[in-house]
Amino acid sequence: MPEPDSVKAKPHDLLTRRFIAVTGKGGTGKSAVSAAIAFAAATLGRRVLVASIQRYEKTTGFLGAGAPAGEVFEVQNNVFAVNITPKAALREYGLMILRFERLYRRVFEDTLVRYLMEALPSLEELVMIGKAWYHTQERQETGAWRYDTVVLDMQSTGHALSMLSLPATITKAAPPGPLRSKAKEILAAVTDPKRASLCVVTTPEETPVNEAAEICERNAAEAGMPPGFLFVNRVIEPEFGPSELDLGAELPPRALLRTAFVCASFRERVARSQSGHLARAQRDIPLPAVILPEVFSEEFGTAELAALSKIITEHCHGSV
Amino acid sequence: MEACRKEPVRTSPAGAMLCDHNLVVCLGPGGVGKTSATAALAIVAAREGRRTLAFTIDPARRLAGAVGLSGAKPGVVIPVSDGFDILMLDVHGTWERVVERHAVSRGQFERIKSNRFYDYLTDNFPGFNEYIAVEKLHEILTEQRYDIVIVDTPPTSYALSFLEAPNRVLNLLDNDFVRIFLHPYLKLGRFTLRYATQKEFFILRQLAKFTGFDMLRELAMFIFEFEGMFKGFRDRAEEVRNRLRAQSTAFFVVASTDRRRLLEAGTTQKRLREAGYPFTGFFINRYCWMCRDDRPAEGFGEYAGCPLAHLELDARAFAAEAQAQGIPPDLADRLHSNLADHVAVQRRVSLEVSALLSETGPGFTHFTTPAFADDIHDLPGLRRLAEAIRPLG
Repeated sequence: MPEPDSVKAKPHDLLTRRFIAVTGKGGTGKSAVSAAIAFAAATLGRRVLVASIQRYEKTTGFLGAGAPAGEVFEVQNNVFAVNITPKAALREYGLMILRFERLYRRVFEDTLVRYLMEALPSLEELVMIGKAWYHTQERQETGAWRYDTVVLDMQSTGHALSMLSLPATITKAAPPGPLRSKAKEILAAVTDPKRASLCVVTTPEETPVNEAAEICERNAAEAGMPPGFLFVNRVIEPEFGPSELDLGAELPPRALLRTAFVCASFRERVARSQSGHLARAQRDIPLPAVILPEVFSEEFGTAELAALSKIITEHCHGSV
Repeated sequence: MEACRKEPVRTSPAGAMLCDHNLVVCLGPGGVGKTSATAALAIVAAREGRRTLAFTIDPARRLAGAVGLSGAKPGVVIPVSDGFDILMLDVHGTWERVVERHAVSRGQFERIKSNRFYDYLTDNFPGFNEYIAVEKLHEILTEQRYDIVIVDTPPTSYALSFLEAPNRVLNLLDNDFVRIFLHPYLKLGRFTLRYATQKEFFILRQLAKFTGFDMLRELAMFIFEFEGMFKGFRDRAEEVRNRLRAQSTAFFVVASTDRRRLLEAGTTQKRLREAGYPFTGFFINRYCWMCRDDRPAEGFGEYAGCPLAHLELDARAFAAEAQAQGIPPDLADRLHSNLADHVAVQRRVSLEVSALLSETGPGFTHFTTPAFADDIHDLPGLRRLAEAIRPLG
């Protein structure tokens, strides 16, 4: 258990890291934050790949709607995305080792063998994180990195931690073999204090903050990724004072103005409820916190993403 | 217990729905409020006088946290003051009892337990939680201690995994490839493996390139130990599946108002119906920004047809009205811009929910809960949520 007011991780320049893992409770906006980090890094001229972990073929990532699993596509200049599923990742890895498509099909597309594969110690998790890692190693013809930064948009807390701890677990526990040597390579990359970063997304609410704290604890104990930033997402700042809200009390019930006061008072109460959780997140979670405001638009599109990117650049880049 | 056994009062549409079913399953991805929905429905069911169990499979055990019992143990039925029980799935304990009960001998049980895959699979095999949940659900339904069981499924990114995953476990442990083809050879060890020529052997040798031979051998031995135990496993899974397909079962697809979640909810209901399960309706959380306790009696009507979405905003008229009421211009500006934010969000939500409902078609019972200003994480909060469940459409 970290002590309250525990020493915060020293902020690093997130946007120049090569491997950034993003996790947090479901519904906190991990994918939007991953995309915003990617756009921020791309603005600096870096080539960025957002790799989104999807356990099932049937779901797709934030940037990757409709794209076939495993295929990299360009979202816009310098921003690329790929959906990583166990099936597609296993296939790629299998082909790499077995080298021949026919051989692969004969071995891996046997239904009964597939069930076995699923049971082998986290083979699926390993090939998924392995694929993300592989993209950090890819080079262009010029010799430069194909992607300067890989942002790994992970599943929620439990699964993400098992995946991140996996290289360490396998390196420690598995018998020597191809699996272990692969795990060892990945472990070195994800725990590299200069090049990797684990970022956590939360909203200013009870359970997401608890899970964010749990991620940090378990990361320190099990995975050992360099701690990055805590993104507190969907924050609503106070906007109206109590004396201002009192002015609405005497208004006629059906007036539009009255409705505006009801909305204002609701907003204030949300802000007040959030402020306690926000303070707790800032106090208890050993990562430097970056506040991202709630987006109130009809669409969450390019403009909204750009606004988040700008905040991330301000807080996570340069001599932070 | 007798005190709360009274005639159903059916005070609300949600209450009526809960009196008509004896098994309710809440499906949905993580972060949409499935656990709160489960607890709120349990509160309503208990108020209707039904003996109610809220059963959570969530490995993060949020339900206990949500009702303020964060220290509670999984596997132990905990009575909550509102007249319902909660039970958190104890994966390890249930698995051990299942294996112990069905092992042919003590020796078989011990051998299975000492294999390192025993614990490993429990914690890591995708679908293991779901599989154990089916075993536990079978036990609960067989005991018939409850009038209604409300199930909170695990927060996976793919909502139907609760229904599909148990089969993965059975397909692994009851795997002919291992039992018939591999086991005899595995007993012989590596040397024979190298020179074997059969197809299965060939496959095994390729697999060993990934994992090393020892690990495969151990897994195969583990699977082989389950020989003969599977008739019962499959029968129970089948019984639970039939029960889940019965008309007395209700499936709710829980969603939040986030666009992606609403789209996913649409896909989930389609797949659920295709698979022959009784889809009852959507349960949409945080449906409206107008918090229920903020909703003044004065005429917003049911928030389900949220009035905010229909507001026509005219900045100049607003400023004039504010001035007439003596509101300072600076405050009037902020009021207007905040109101516009709310209207924008609610318009999007209304449009997307309407699209979802029309795509789903008529004949379903949907519910919503409002957004509360404060975050719901304790029993009093859940009671407010329970009271605010409203039918939609």
